[in-house]
Amino acid sequence: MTYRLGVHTTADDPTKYRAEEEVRMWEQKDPLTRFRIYLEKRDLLEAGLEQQVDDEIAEAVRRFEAAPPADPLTMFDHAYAVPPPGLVAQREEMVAREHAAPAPAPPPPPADATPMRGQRRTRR
Amino acid sequence: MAKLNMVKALNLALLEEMERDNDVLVLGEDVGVDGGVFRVTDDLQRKFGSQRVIDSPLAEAAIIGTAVGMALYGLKPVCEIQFSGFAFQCFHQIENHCARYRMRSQSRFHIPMVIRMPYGGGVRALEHHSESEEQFYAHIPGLKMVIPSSPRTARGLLAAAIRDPDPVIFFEAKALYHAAKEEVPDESEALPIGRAQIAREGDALTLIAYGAMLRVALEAADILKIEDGAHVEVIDLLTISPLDRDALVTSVKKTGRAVVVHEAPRSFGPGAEIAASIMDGAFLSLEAPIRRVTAHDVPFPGFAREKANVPDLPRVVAAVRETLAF
Repeated sequence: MTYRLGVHTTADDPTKYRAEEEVRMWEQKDPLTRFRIYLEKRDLLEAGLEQQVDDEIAEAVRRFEAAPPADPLTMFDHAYAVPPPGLVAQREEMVAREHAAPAPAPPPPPADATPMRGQRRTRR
Repeated sequence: MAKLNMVKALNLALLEEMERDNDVLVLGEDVGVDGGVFRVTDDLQRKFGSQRVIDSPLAEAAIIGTAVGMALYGLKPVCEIQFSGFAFQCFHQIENHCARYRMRSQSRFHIPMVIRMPYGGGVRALEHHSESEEQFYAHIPGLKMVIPSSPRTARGLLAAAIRDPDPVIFFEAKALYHAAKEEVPDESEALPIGRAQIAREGDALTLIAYGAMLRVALEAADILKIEDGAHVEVIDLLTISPLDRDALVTSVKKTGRAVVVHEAPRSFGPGAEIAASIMDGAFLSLEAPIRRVTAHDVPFPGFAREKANVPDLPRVVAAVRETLAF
């Protein structure tokens, strides 16, 4: 049994279909929260560990966002071991389109991304 | 050369591939002790044991799901679904997993497996035992969709399907299982997937068929030659997807006319893709609209009316004559 504490998607507003008390009840059972309490009680939580984990996650996000846009042509590489002639022709059509009018660059991500609506930050 | 019917030819291909490659295994309902509902896997469990010829529970989703896992770990499962009409229980495993692992994993994983299913009418069976659903599988990227028309093509294409690195849906026409015997070479042979064959050369019109409909198309060509003096070229598609567009276009550039025959319902069936491909490649050669002779757009009506639903000789001959006269 699992319970989703956060939103399902950016378009989801769980406050519409579930009661705040229900969510609070499940928050009490969140294994991450409980595990931290357990570690704190036994004095096992290393100072600075949580900050270190947060930094690692932030770094991973930075790396992901700095990655160049995916090359759309690679979609043709992973449908079959050897793409059949019809698929090769579709790839060539895409190459011709890209060559004629290069795709506009995607907008840069916002500098300070806010959490998704309804998203909960882990309670500290 | 041995003369075999299609059941024996398929059995021979399985035997040869299992002897050639220890990773090839068979699983499905009653494929072991019983040798399969149509006896295609006859005697294989005795030869290769119950670890390589596995009797599954009556659970199509479990058969395909298990086989996808086996394929991810390097085995080459050949699954039998007793009738193609039962496969909707495992359609999720086929579409959502089997067809997608190569893309999902960016080619780190692939699924070398075959799913054999008897399909089609002509055996006076009850509901879910006579339908022709190749269009569903042909439409799914990542799959290949193969339908042999004779003992030799069945044996050669099943060997190729088992050796293929990607998942292959392999339809076997029930009406052909015991219909005719054909000489098959002594040596194992693999026929290329994605390649149609010219079953009869001609210059008046291109008649395209596959599976059990090939025989109807050839008989129609005989009649048209004798009665009309028209030399019809008959193309045996053999692979539905990927479609051999070159073969179709080359033939229609020569003949200028085309008729497609299939057992699946007409709308959104393989005939539509075939007609569109001919329009793309041979538009200026066409002298007449491309006709389709197919089952009707009704749920398969049961054996009392199946002859009126599945294309037969008079319907094919009439469609060809109309197209020739256009």
